[in-house]
Amino acid sequence: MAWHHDKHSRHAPLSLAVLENVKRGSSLGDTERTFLHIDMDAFFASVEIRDNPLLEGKPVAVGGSNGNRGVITAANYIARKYGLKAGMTAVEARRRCHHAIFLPVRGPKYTYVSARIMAELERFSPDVKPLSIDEASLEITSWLKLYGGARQIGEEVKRTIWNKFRLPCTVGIGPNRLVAKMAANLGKPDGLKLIREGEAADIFAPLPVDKMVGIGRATSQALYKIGIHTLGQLAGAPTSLVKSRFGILGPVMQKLARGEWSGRMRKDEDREPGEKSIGHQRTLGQPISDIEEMKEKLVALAEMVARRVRRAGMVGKKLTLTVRYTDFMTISHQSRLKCVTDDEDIIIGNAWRLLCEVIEPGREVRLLGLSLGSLGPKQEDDRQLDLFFAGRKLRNEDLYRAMDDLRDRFGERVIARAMGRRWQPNSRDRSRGDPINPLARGVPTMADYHTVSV
Amino acid sequence: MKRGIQRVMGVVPTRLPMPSLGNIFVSLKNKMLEITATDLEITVTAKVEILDSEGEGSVLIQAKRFQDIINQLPDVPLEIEVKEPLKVTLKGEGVGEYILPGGDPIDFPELPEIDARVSFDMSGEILKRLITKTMFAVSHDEMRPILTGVLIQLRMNEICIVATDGHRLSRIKRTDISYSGEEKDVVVPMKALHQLLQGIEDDDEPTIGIAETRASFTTDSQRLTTRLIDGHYPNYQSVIPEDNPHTMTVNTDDMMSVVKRISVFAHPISHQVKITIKQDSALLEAEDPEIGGRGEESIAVNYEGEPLELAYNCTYLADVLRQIDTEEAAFKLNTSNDAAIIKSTVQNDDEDLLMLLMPIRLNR
Repeated sequence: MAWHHDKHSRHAPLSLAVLENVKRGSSLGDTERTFLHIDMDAFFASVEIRDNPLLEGKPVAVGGSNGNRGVITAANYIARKYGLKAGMTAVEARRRCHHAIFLPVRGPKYTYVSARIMAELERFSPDVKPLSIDEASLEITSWLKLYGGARQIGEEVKRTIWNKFRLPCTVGIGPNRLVAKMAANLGKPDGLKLIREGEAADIFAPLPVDKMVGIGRATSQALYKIGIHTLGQLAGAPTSLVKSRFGILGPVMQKLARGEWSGRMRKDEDREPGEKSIGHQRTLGQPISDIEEMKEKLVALAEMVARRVRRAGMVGKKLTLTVRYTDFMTISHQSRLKCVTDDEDIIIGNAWRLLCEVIEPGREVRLLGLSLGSLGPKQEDDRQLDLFFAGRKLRNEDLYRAMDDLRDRFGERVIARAMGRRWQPNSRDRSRGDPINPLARGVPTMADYHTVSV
Repeated sequence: MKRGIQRVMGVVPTRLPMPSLGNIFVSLKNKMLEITATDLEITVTAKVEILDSEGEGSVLIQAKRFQDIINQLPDVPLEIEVKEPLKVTLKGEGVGEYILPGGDPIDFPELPEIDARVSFDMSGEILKRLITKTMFAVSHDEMRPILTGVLIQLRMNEICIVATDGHRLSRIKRTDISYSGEEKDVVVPMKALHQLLQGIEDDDEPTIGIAETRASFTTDSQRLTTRLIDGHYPNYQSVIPEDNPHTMTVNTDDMMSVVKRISVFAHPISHQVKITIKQDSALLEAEDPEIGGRGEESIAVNYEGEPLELAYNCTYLADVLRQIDTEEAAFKLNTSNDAAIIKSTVQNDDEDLLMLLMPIRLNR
């Protein structure tokens, strides 16, 4: 396959861009690149156990401490034996393991520990990519000699994390970020696993397809239907078959299955390669009925969604708002945006409109979700110039790029919208009190919310 | 009756914020039958000719079902009877009898009375022309609500209609209007204009009334009232370039044909067509790198100025060309990042149509 860097390559869909990176990576193959992936074991639970030794040896879950509400966000390995895992509802978790200890989630504490761990990791490589609060990927190519080899670095990382933080972690090492992450997944818990160049395909081959980063439940179901159950089968399947079923993503998945992916790695939660939507939902610790409060949550959701959409190099068109009331009645409301977007201002504006359209005033809401669907690769369609707003779009784009960059480097909390001043709809946008028109609410305009400038 | 229903059906909302809006309001008063539909923004009342009537009153009828049955009926005199408790019976010679459930008219929203501060008449033909020439440029972007309407500016003996979505703009002025009221700028929602186009005949003489928050368009056979869009229309005059130095003249139909052909190969998202203009010809090119197709075609032009390379959205370009009535169209150009002015080469004395088109930035 020939990859040419002509001026049109920017039009190539994301997956092609990813493959381009593969090419770029392997062209540097002379100096064999090596990556290290570190994944903290049951991070939140481990932090809690470290700080309270009485918990040791007991099944521990973080989350779900507030009665039967919400979900658990982490479970230690003892609790996992009972089937507990992150994302499970508190009710379900209690049913499975009633004697587990459910602890309150102490977010700021984990963020703090995470930041210190990330800082510590910088000793081992200047190229530390935090992938989530408890995962990071490091390129260690140029440090192999210094430490005497990949395994030695891995051991040193584990030792350092244990000595400094008393926290268990698993380290995976591989010739690209994907293989390193897979190695870490395979090495869990408290392990160190090394996969060398050329070994990946054989090691992956017997694994079920859903063990692969990037292949989620829906995709693996679809794979089963065409008789593919293991990664080996996937790698060996005729390209035409997977292509006819999954389009351009088929060959990408095959590359994954062979461990040939050094493209940009995304967060664990973004793992569908064929994802058609990107969304977040939040179960609210305390149900809320105040629409102003919901607005804040919605803005936060929109920011997260927009950031992930931008990170994936996508734009989306279909916005879906999910509202779950305390009686579990769940409403989804969709809107097709007028044009594709990755702009959080537009997402916020439309999400707010959707919320206004469906919300039943006074009812308590326990979950809000927002997702952007009908995703496609971002095209250069915003080169269309505008008569009135020539500079504005560009400014926003620059702002987002700067904010995304800051967050990549210093974490999600480094910059935020000015919450206090945020987004008070002006009087024009409120219902005009028209008795025959309960829905006469306007759509918020750009002037209605503020972004902080950098 | 069919015509009357057609006129009002367009405003019956598909999603119903109030269940009663799925009905049409039928009223018989002073030997006149009127049917009304509303989506709360726009209300249309159509007058229907009747042969004979008995009694007075009003009823709500399910709009969809009523239209379906009326459409299926042949052109025979029809008897409509409303019996208590609210059953509507349709009878006609040789077509049997149909009973529709009726609704209580009290459920229908009260119809807005408009207290027009400004009122004038104009020819239906001209009004329709003004709307057609501008509404293609209306924005569909709900984030800029003001641009989802058409700006109507009234001046002494003059009407000026403007629509823009920021990417293109169309402004048409007529100076043969019998208007002598105050200067007035209002923004009318697109949907209302759409309805007007369908409901007004060329030989109608609609009366246009404008109040603080609403406008009405009344003819002998129908009356449409619409809420006006609130807000400040952007200062469109400031974006009309005054001194674009280069002029390209091109045969309108030829250009249109080329654009249509080329657009088959345009990128499905950007719709970009690149135009390279030289002294006597322009080369139009489009390509879709994803499918690997491309097209190019050259067209004779008359052009004074430096050779120029620019790109437009071909859909926008076709929209603009479609509005040109004359054999030739004139493009006044500046650089590849500036708005082009497009006009007919010959303008009617009383009319001035000007269109702006913003280019797509070229990759260099």
